[in-house]
Amino acid sequence: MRVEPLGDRGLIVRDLPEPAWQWAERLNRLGLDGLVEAYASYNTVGLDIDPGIFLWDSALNAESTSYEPEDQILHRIPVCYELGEDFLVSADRLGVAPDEFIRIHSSATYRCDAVGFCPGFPYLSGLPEPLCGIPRLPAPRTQIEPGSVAITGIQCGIYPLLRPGGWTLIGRTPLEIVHVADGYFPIKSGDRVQFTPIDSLEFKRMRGERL
Amino acid sequence: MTVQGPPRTGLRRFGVPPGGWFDSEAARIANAIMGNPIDSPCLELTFAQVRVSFAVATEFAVTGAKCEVKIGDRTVGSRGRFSAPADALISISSPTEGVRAYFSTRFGTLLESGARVMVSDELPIVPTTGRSHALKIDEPDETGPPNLRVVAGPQAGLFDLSRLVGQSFTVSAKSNRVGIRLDEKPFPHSVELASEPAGYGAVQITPDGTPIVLGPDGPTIGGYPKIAYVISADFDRLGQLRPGQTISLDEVSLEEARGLAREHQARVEHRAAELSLATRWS
Repeated sequence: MRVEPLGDRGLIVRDLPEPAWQWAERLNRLGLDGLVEAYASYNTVGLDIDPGIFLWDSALNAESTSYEPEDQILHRIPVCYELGEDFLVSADRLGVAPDEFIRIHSSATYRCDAVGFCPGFPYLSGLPEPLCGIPRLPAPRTQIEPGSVAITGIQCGIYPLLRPGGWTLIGRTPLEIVHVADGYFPIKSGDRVQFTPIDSLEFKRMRGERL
Repeated sequence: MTVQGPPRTGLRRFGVPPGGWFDSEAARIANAIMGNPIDSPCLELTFAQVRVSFAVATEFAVTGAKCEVKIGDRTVGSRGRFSAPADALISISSPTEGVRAYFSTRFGTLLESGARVMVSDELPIVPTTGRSHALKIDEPDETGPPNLRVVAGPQAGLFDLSRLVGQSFTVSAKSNRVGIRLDEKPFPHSVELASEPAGYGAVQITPDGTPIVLGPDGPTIGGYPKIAYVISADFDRLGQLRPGQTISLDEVSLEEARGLAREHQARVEHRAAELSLATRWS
């Protein structure tokens, strides 16, 4: 493992001995002195710390402690691809026909490696190779509609709330996937996700339902 | 105008940022001079022009950004504790210095942090006991461009740090609680990273070269490279940066940053305790 500072109250941990979400969960359960919270990203973990108290040595060998992971759920998420602002452009850019794009994207099973960026945004790995390699936008869009399904590089994600963002928008889900005030965070790190194609009529009918 | 309190912890794993007061020192002082516990929620007024009245005679506090406070037609000051008779119209002008003013009264624990307050909303207050006197507080007015201190970030090595530290930047009008954007674009790049932890204070560089300093509602994870982090002792000042204002950035070591954080924390607590004591004895 390698550890680097993130400002004066945080650390980033790289080269982890196990999946980031699992290592973060383990650390949170250990209740280490001065550790406010551990949170996973793709292959790194962020630590929010009280620097006067937290000792990095206390986190070493965490992976050898016993731990019962929570049940991992498979979420099926409906997506209307034709509502993705960049759907046709990105299919063209990748050299994949639109129908083929939908077939490839919706036949994969993704794993949620992290939830972050904004409340409830799932970072999904498992994007099939033909859809990989689109860079982030040079300047982020100032507002992205909730439910937008997006890709960049080897990543896929869903914008749950109105936010600025720099990923390419390939579709929209009608479902509400987070409700902060209610503490509703149905997708957690370690869960699996599959996408089901729907048309715009189904999108209207399902709009606002909860995942 | 929103209700803000101390930062939330424990929900970072669901992507929920810390949130809370952008200028926590000013908010804590507002609570202290009202005799509230210093971590009580209060109102954060962002570039706001506000009119309120109370159904009963009461005291209230205004701190942070410099505003003109009027009771009826009478100007009573800019920062401090004031008494208003029942039904008097209290007006707080848009700030002439800084961005965020904090408005506190005996809200007790009746407000929900993060809630947006709309025109005509009624807010609950705890009736005050006894009478207190007006109390003016002095805030040193900044001279010259505010200077923010940073420590190097994890991707500092990908950029020429000397084009950031020791340099002047202009605060963009597209700044808010998510991030303070700067107008200059000295670092265009095509670095593609897997998303990794970001958080409050991170100075991210977008591909077109713009530095964005993440605020209390900013992303917990991000893929833009982080050239630096603003030190936590300077977070309160970030919350008062005005669009168009010039700032300069200086680099400090991690040890210095941690020392400055302890000093800042101790200074705020000391000042709050003194003002709270003065309130109790006035």
